[in-house]
Amino acid sequence: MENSIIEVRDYSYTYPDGRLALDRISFSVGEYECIGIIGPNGAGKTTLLLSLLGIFRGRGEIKIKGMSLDRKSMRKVRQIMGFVFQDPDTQLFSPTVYEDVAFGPINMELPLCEVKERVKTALSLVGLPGFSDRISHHLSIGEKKRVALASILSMDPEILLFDEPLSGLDPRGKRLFTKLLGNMKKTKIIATHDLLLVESLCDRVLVLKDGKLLWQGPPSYILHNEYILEKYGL
Amino acid sequence: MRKTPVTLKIVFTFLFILIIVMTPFRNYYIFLGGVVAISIFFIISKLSLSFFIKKTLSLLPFVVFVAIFLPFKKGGIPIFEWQGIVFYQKGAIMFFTVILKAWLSMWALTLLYINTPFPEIIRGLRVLGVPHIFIMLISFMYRYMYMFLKVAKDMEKARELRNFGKNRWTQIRVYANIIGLLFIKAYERGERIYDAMLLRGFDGKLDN
Repeated sequence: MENSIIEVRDYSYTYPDGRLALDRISFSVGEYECIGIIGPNGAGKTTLLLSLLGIFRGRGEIKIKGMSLDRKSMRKVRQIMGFVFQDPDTQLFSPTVYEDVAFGPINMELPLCEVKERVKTALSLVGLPGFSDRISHHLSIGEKKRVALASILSMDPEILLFDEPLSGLDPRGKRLFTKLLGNMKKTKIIATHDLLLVESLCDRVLVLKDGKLLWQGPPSYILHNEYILEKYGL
Repeated sequence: MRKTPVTLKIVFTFLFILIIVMTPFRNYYIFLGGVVAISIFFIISKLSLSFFIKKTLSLLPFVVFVAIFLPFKKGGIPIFEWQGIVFYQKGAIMFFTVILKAWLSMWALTLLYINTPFPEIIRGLRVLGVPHIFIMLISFMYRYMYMFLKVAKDMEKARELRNFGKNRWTQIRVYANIIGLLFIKAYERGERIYDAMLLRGFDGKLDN
């Protein structure tokens, strides 16, 4: 694809126990495109996201903005890509919200005044201004999810990756978070079981099953086709 | 107490603990001074006595476990003998002194902890120049301690719900499994948190 920001060619990953997690996956993602990754449990969705981030290293090729994923490019790539974990308690490891949201910008070696400004902006973007001094583990799940997103937005990445962004949220929280994601004008990759989320946000959907990329195309085609949904275990 | 500068509170607490721990075991007037000082701060803090005692007693079993063999250490006047096991007076006094030292130290730390929000304590330690790696370790411990406590309690509930009234002592094996599982969960969580740090540009440097 022309103007693609992510290129994956024949990528395979095997778990340390020998199980094949991803089997010759190929796809590309265009700039500002929103991609949904769907598939049954254990299909390899999270593994694929972590591979794009260089946490898992398999065989094949992954290019982010034309850069191959290797030791040299890793620092740059991780500033371009922001990953929001499924469990916000993994992402929020500092005592206060401020420290969590500032963690990325501090590691980017930005001056302190800019770090503070970025924390303020990121918290406003997720609708939690004034939460800086709150203690992370005292927040509700919905608030934790939003702070986790803020901790990524503060690095101003070009690509956002989400692993099950709506899990654990109540219906109102789901609506709020979906709207929040829709407002982010960035390239997005969302791994989820929530077909409604995929339908409302994504331009294209990738269907994974048993580590294989079985189908990709517009969400409207697959999400209203019961035969295909059943066939792919959705 | 809450308005006192945090650095002063930390320095005072650690000085207090240092004096108590370093005091030779027969200098009772210093221990008495410690009790008086703690009582004054306790009254100023307006805390409930039962809550305070409960908090400070929680760690005592560990101290008792460590010091339990002291009365059997040879030396001084024997108090009684049974089946060749001798119980000495000097050791007994040492045992009670160790308990008192540990308890007084716990009192001081509990007063500091209750009167200061945790992020403030961290800020104070930073101002006092405590190495960043220690501060980070304390922060992580505080952040995840409650979570693992909740996981442990949830697993205990799940066990109890499928226990159907059996004696819990017959289920030592299940408890061993729960402890093992907690260890694995902690390990895996640690790996994921490290990934989360790496993805936000962490490169092993702790000086920032």
